[in-house]
Amino acid sequence: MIDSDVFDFVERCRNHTATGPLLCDLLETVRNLGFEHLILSGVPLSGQKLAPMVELNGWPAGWFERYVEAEHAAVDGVCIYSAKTLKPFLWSEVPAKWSDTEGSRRVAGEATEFGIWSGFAVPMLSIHHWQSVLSFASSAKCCTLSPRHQVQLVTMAVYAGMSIQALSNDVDGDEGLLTDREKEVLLWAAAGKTSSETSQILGLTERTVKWHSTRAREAFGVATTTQAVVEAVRRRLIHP
Amino acid sequence: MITAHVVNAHNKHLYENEFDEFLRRRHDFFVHQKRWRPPSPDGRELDQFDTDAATYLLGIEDGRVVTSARLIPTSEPHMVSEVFSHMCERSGVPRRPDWAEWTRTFVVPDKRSTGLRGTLTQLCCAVMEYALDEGLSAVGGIQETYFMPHHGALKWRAEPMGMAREENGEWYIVAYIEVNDAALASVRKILGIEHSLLVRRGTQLPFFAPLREEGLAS
Repeated sequence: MIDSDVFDFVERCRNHTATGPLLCDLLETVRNLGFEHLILSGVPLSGQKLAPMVELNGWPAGWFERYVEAEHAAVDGVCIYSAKTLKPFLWSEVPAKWSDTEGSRRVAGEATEFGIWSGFAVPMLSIHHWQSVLSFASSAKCCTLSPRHQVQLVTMAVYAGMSIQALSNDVDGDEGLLTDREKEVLLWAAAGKTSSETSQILGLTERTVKWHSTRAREAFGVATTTQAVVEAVRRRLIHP
Repeated sequence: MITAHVVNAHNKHLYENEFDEFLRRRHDFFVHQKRWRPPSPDGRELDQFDTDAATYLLGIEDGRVVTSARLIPTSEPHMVSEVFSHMCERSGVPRRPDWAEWTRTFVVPDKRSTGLRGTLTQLCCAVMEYALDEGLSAVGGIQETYFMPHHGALKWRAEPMGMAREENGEWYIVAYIEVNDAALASVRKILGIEHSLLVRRGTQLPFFAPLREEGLAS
């Protein structure tokens, strides 16, 4: 692959008006570097569901479904490490602490059934999530990327990431995510109040307060009210 | 919401306190947090590009300098031409007075957020407004690749001068953002504002008119 192929891809990125053609273009271009599959997604933190965070899904048929169904994201070393570093990395460089666990080895083993053996990941800033990652997968047993190819891949990843942000048409983004009541309930939770206390403060039944908390958790795809409070603060929807 | 004060060699005397605060915040960020620069005994960070050719936007909110940008015409010596010229293998180093190098941007810790309506986007809006006012065609320079999606989110277009590269353990790319009405409109829409964020006090000279030499005017 030569540098001008990369800059040609960058040029084409500007003209893609939908994610489908962008995905096809990127897949076709990185095939020249030995990568057959890719995924661009928000990085799920514990308790968050992966599926709603996926922006470009170029994984082999069946693998994504299996990965989501089995909740592999919670144990996959590549996924866990993607939340912990800002720098591009080879999957083989994930520290043993996360890659050498039983769960992570099981995910890596299952992936080979779908022709995925090695890969390279590029973490990037995300507006709505902790951060995002563009992960490229290869059927080569060991992914060997020359420094030049690494540079080419990172450049394309960055422009793909920019294009995806430009295509997401959510200027109002998070604004309508929570109702005023849900925000109020989260604010009192942030102040350390139990549902029972909040129900007395707001003059609601405890059941109604719990219902609002549940709705807030669902809005962010998280498991606990504490996580929902953290998300709401991070997205500047509430100001405790 | 910030107001962005335009500070240059001609009105700097009006901003003595704010400019000093700006240099101290720079020291906090570029020395202590980023570790890009060695500590300075006086706790202020200055480099070789802080010359009379530079124009600063100081983002002020509630009386504090919370964010900043430094703009230098690329026709003058600037960081890309002096330090990162090897990263412009595609297009060469731009040397045009209407292309500004944008550096020294920080956001104070309590104003950082990953949301799109925060202080960083407000500063971007001010930079784009200033660049349009001054008739610039592009602003940019050396940037961390990690943050490039932010430009995408603002619907801004950034032209790469070369490939992304790893330098001292971090990945950077030299890229310039197109300055036009659409770029200002999209960032204003995101912020939900229609008004100017800029404040200009004292003598204002055009960004890229040649500096007058005192005493030669007659």
